[in-house]
Amino acid sequence: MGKKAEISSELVLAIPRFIFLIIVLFSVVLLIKAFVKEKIEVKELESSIFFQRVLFGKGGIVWYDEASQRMHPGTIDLERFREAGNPQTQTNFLDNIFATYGEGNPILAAHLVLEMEGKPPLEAYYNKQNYFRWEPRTLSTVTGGSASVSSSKHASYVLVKDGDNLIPATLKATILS
Amino acid sequence: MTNTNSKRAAIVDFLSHFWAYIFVAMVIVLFAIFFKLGQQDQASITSLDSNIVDSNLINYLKTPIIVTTGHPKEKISVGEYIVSYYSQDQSTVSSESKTQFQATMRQQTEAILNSRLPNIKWKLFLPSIDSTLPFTLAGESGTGDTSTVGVVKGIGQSCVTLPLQNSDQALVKLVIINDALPASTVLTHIKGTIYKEYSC
Repeated sequence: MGKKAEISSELVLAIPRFIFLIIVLFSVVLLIKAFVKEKIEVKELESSIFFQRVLFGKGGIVWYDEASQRMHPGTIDLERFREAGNPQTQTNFLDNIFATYGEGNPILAAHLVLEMEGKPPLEAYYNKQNYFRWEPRTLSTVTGGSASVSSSKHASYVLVKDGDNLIPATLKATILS
Repeated sequence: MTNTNSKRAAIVDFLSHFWAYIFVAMVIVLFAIFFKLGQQDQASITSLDSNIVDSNLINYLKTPIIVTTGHPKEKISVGEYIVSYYSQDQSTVSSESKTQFQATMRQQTEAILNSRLPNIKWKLFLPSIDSTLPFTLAGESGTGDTSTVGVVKGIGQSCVTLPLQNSDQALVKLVIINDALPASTVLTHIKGTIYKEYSC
């Protein structure tokens, strides 16, 4: 038996070891990949922050008492909400003053529903045009659907300031981002 | 001869490393399982959840209620009702008044929190009335509106200290738990310090 044949037989026997080495290397790569965050998901956070901005932010639908110059977070001014929900207009003060992201607003769109005790629910939109454009894309059955636009729902117990009365209500929001 | 020796040596070498290969494979499998488990979402008290619960508690305390005990009937806020009750010297309060306060609080709180907060379990703690234990109310919303995620994503709590007329204070604590949370997670938190203790 020549030296060449001896070397080649050793190489043949080393094949399982090479295969195992490859498996180990691939496993290490996969484990590292599992750790690496390629995309940071902030849509859920953005929508939560927006909902809280609606509930607590000045210049929105929250009741601002002119006499004491004090804002009441979590208390909705019925007049302001009705103004925001005016169906005649495409944009409202929420789009133009409260949370402005420029024309076309590619960041967020929201549908707000105010359910009061003993009264029909009231609706208002933020970035209405894009809300209707994006809403179908939240469905998984639509091409370019659930992966492209995320929808999150929020709710909170609020009080509604209607003249001198405080009415218990629930503010619900569907936020698309 | 040399070839046979070489083959034997290779087989012996492979066998001697066999347990090492098994060990490495097990380590990789364990790491994979460990990372997979680590990626599961865990319910936590986030600052965002706490903000919402703060707002809900304040609105609950500001909610106007009609108290039927007085003559004529009074329209006051829940917070004012709590303050007026606990401002009294508790040793002089009659058992009838205590029962009336408990019944009114139970009825009004359930009416507010059960109907206005979708898909949650809630628990409200107030200072003790008859024993050393806090006066506790609990319930869950029955709206059945499964399309709404809920007031909180996990578990949220909030506390308010109401100043009493006798320069004492009454601590009011509200805990809200998302109804969609798995029972095991809720149980973990109930067993923990968050849900059980009357402190903030």
